[in-house]
Amino acid sequence: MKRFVVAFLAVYIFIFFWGWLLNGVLLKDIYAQTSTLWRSQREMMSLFHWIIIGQALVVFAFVSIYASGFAGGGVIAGIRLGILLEIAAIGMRMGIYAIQPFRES
Amino acid sequence: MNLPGSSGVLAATSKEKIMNWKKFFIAFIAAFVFLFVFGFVWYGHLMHGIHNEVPVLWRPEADFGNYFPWLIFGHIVMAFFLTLLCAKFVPGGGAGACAGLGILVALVYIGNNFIIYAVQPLTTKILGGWIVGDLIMFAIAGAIIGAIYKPISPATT
Repeated sequence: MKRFVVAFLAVYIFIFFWGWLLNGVLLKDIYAQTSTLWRSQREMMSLFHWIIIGQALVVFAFVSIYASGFAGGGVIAGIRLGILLEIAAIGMRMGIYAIQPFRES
Repeated sequence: MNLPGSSGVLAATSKEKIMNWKKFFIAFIAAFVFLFVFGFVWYGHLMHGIHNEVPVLWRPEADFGNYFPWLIFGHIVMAFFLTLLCAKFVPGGGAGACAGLGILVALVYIGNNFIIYAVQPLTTKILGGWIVGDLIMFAIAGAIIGAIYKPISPATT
């Protein structure tokens, strides 16, 4: 349980900063091209706790899956699970791309 | 922390069980068909009116057809991922254990739904519908995969 909590915190911190870097900095200009799809900056900040809760839920599920079926496999098993979960995310993003008016370029 | 039927240590069990690719393929097809039909009924039909409360977020009907292949391919990827995860994670198979895994996977999607809610002008009804839909969809899809997929035991090879 102690290791579960430590792993949860470590992954949460990584995902939080990675999410900020990727979505808040690197992709910021690209998101601005589809501004009608997004809440205003002020609105997003008022709902920021949903991002915290959402990321915590993602990390909890990730660590739970690892602890249930992959623990003992070490870093390689963690990477394999991460790749599988990313494949799931790619599938979901394809679905979102199909239904939301994102630009092609 | 183990779910019933889960491997505990993936590396060890992979030596004891051999992937049954025929059953894997059947389970994958069944999962894809279920995910696609459930998605159409739940998100496309039952939630149609709720989605239309924020029409700016969705492609127009006329345009949607051009992007339909993305929707199909997205479902194929999700079904493949879930089947692969079940086969690796619950090598013994079983509807209950894979349904449990499906619920954990749903939590990943639900977490993402919360984040989308924070950054896109979704209504709470849409968020609620997505959460319930994801839980039901992935639990049942996991159960279907678990009921179909069975590994080949070394003794039978």
